[in-house]
Amino acid sequence: MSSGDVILVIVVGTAVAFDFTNGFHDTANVVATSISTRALGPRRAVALASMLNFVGAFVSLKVAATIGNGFVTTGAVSTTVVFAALVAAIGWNLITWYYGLPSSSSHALIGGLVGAVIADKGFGAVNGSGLLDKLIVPALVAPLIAFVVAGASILIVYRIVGRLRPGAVGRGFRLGQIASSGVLALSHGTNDAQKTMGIITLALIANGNIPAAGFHVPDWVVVTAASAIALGTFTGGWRIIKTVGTRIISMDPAQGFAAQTAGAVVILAASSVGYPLSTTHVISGGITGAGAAKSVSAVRWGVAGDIVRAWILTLPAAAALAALVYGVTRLFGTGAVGPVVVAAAMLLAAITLFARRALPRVTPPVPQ
Amino acid sequence: MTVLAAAPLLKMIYSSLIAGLTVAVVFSIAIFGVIRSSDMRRANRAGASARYATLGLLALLASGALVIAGLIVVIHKS
Repeated sequence: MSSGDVILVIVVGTAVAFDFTNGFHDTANVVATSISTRALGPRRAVALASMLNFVGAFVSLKVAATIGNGFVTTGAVSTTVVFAALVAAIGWNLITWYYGLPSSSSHALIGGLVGAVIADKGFGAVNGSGLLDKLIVPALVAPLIAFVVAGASILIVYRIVGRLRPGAVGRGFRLGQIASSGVLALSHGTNDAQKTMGIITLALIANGNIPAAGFHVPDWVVVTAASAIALGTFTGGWRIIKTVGTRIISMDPAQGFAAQTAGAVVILAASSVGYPLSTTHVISGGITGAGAAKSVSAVRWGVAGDIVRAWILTLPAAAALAALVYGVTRLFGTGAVGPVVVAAAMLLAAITLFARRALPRVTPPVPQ
Repeated sequence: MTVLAAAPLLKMIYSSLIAGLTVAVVFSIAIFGVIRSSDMRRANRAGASARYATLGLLALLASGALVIAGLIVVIHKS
């Protein structure tokens, strides 16, 4: 086995790990509103999202192609660059997960890829117009649209059902939420699992395993990515669910339905024109819109502000982190030693972080 | 951003607005019809109950059709 093959194996393992973190970090947001309004129990909601993410991963490969050749010059990418991008994206995912902030895994990965490419080849290898048109502008506009759609929807909904029995109305919208969260999960699966497919395929091209011409994702890559994101989703990102589902606003079922419907239609509309969106951004915009339409003071703007700050930071932070990881990796030369050392260090850091989160908090005894 | 790149953005904006508001209105009408039908039945007004039930059922079917249309859009991404 050549050193290139060793790096490729590490990259594939890291990509699968990224997909797993993407699953528990991002996908859980799809079902957060259903859990918050008790339309679905947490286990059922996460199981549904997990299943539909797996199915959704097989629907399309368009986003994988965009990740593979939309933002950087494919020929400028080496396996070490892909490795650095993945480590940075995982690192940023874990940091924001630790603090309960729903930032975007997509943007972390793309930011990481751009940062590592810049560190290796300079700014000339970055497709600036692709980044602006397909990533930055949609990332800014989509949450605002979700905000407006959810806000306008909840105003109309209250006008139609406002004088009816609240209990019956709540039951009706809880049923509607099951459908809307299902569609949201499926559309999310079509986008998110493909990021990993795109990045693994990029590494396979860089290592010379498949040709660069006619970007093609091998079947084993599709199955691996779908399985990893589904497993990550099933494991569940409960901390993020809590932030999105309860800390921004306290929702009633009608608001939950409006927020999820807004999220689903925005993602579907964006997908139909080829924009890779962050479900986290969109659903957070929808939740805030549904809350603000009912009462501006009902929205905890401080928490919403934290989320916006995480969004703004994600691209540059992931890019800087990736450039740093690339630099550290290259300190050990161009062989497999750098990726092995960095992967081992990352694994150790991740285990430490999980252990800190898993430790039970000891409550001091109350004095009698 | 070029002029050409603005077209898909505008399409995303108006598609989202139209689809989102339509789903919300149609599903709300379904809930309205079902609940009012139940209320009318309790008030022994069979005719009004049947009319509301029909309205609710039609709106529910329309909601289902909209969900299916959404899934078709997802599948057509491939």
